Amino acid sequence: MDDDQTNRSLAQTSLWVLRIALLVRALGVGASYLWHPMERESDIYGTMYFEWGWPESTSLAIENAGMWLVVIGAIVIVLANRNKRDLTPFRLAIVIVLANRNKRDLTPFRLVAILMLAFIVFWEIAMASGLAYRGGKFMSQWALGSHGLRIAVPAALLLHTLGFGAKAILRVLYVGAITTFLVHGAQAWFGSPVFITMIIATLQSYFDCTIDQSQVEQILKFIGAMDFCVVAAILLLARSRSGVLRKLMLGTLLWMAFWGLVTAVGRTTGASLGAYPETLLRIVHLGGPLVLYVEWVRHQSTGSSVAQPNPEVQHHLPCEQPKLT
Amino acid sequence: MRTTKTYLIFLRFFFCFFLASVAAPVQADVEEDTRPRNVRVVWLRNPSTTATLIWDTVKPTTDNSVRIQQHGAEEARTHKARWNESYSYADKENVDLNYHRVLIDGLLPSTRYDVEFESDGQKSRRLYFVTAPDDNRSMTFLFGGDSRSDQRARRSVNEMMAELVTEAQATEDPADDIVGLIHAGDYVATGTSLKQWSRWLGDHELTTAEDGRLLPIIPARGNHDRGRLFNEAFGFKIKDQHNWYGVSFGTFLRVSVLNTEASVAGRQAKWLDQELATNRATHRWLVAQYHRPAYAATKWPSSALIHWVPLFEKHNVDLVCEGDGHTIKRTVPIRNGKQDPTGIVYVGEGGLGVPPRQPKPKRWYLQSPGMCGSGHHVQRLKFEEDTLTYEVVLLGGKIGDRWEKKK
Repeated sequence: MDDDQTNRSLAQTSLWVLRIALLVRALGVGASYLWHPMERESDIYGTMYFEWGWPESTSLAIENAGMWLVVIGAIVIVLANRNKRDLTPFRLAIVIVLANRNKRDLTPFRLVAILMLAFIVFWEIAMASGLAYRGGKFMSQWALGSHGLRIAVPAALLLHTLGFGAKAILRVLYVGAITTFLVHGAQAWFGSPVFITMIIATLQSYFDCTIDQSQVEQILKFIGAMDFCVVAAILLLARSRSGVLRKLMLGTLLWMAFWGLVTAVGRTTGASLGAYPETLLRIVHLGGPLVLYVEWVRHQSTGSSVAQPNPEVQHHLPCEQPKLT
Repeated sequence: MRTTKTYLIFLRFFFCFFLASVAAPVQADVEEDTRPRNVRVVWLRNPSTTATLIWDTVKPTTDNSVRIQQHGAEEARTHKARWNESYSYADKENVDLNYHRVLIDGLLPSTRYDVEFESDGQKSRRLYFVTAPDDNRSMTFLFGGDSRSDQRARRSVNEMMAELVTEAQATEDPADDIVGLIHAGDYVATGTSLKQWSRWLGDHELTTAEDGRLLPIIPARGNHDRGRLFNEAFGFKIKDQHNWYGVSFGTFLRVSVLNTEASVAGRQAKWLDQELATNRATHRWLVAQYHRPAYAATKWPSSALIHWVPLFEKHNVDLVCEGDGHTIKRTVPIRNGKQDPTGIVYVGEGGLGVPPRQPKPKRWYLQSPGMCGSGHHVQRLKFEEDTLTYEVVLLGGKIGDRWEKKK
């Protein structure tokens, strides 16, 4: 990341990747915790009910309200960022509720987006913290790290909506990607039983290949090492200026996106199609690195001298009229 | 001068009195610190002829032994504890606790053994346990899980279990006799907290009947029982990460204990296939128990659904006992993912001392003739020649559910 990124905004492609990742993850949240026949409760409910001794009905009500807000929030983010602003009844309702005529820069849509995104970030942190606090899963004490991209994707969109430049946004995404790969790498290295089961089941079901557990454990060591290498590569290459190293960085980011997708899909292939919410929940592992990749390519193609402000950000800058295209 | 002397005499007297008053409790504390406590019998192998006896002391002790005597016999044997170690993670919470373990074999089936535990001269009260039968007689077990986070409820359920043992002994039908406790895991909230384990082990003593009868335990590892303390508490090898095993009661019953915290595929699935194939041919009743449920009453199904359920169906397991959900559940008989009269019934979900949850009754497998509910409870399994009787005993003694399976 160079200094010229400070004032530059993310590319439209990147923003859409982030929004779609957020939406797909939100649908995964909805399926997992609200409408799937096997819907369950998160560690937010678990913390309130089991650890803090709140009434079960209260804990459930808060949990369900939070999950619905995440789903609705993600839908609003996608709707509210459409360029063509036709007045649907839904939009009209938001305008009536939240219109603020005194501050022209703070449009109702933007205000809603900020509130929704702030809540989603808070909720993601709460889910990860609940898991870390309650334990009960392999290396769950590091859940804030393994959930890095789940937190970073809405956080990146929040920063964008607040008018922050690409540098800050990308930093958040990098931190999320690094912690996600670091903790998942550690889980693989130390032989996560879930990963072992996932690999064995996927190979059996889709490739008709029976593999010994000890071989899977070796493969996991390799995967863990790969994840550590990815983290090391990002830390070392992020500021590189040499052509070869930049290409290596490009490859690393592409690998992260690919691996994020593979491991997300593995959650379903390692169980059954009914486990599709597990994949949706992890689609941010594709989305986050993909944005980093797109921005890296863009940065390379534009060079350090070009810093085109994004029209979408322009209307977020204080005391300026929104410029809608 | 005389005043000074009187003063000194008074001071000496006061000092001696002070020392005496301080020394007495110190002596009492030392005795308390080496007193055998948290006594338990664990069945990991052949329960008709072997037993693992474990007890704890607060302070490390050098001379630890069990005096064991067949009830009514004159001869008694003394077994020195071969494993005397401090529990792991003791430094983390500044807790002192040491375990002492004896593995006794060569016991006679269906026999009462009186036992007395001794550590550095401090003795436990006289207790006893009864070895499992091996002559295919009918027998009864208690089953439950999840005793991790509501200590008051845990203590109440433990006391109820002791009462159930006493009541069963008093009936005329020997088949009512409660042989042991099958525990599906989640003993504590944080598996690496010795403080929590210490409380659990102390509370487990409440399952001991009034007359001193110990209730042997067949433990499974739960998702909250991570770390070494589970192994140390129940006599597994310290670094054992498998914790899957089978216990036979003659050729009448085989209890296969599985570990959902290890990979459910791979080695464990292979072992299970072999275990069930071998024992289906030789045992009348086959029961499997583990922590995370395949047919969950509140949660997402565990991977056991994919990797173990087909094996249960292949080998026609008679009953599957699960924990984790903090509810009461009994599924409809299930085969190939559908209700089927020839299918397998899954019971349990755990209520030995946790805040109970409301189940999700809309799940197809919990609907009638299955059931689900909520409350602190233990489940009673009575195995007879042709009938398996399952009952849910709620805290207070009320029967919450009853079901029979005919051979």
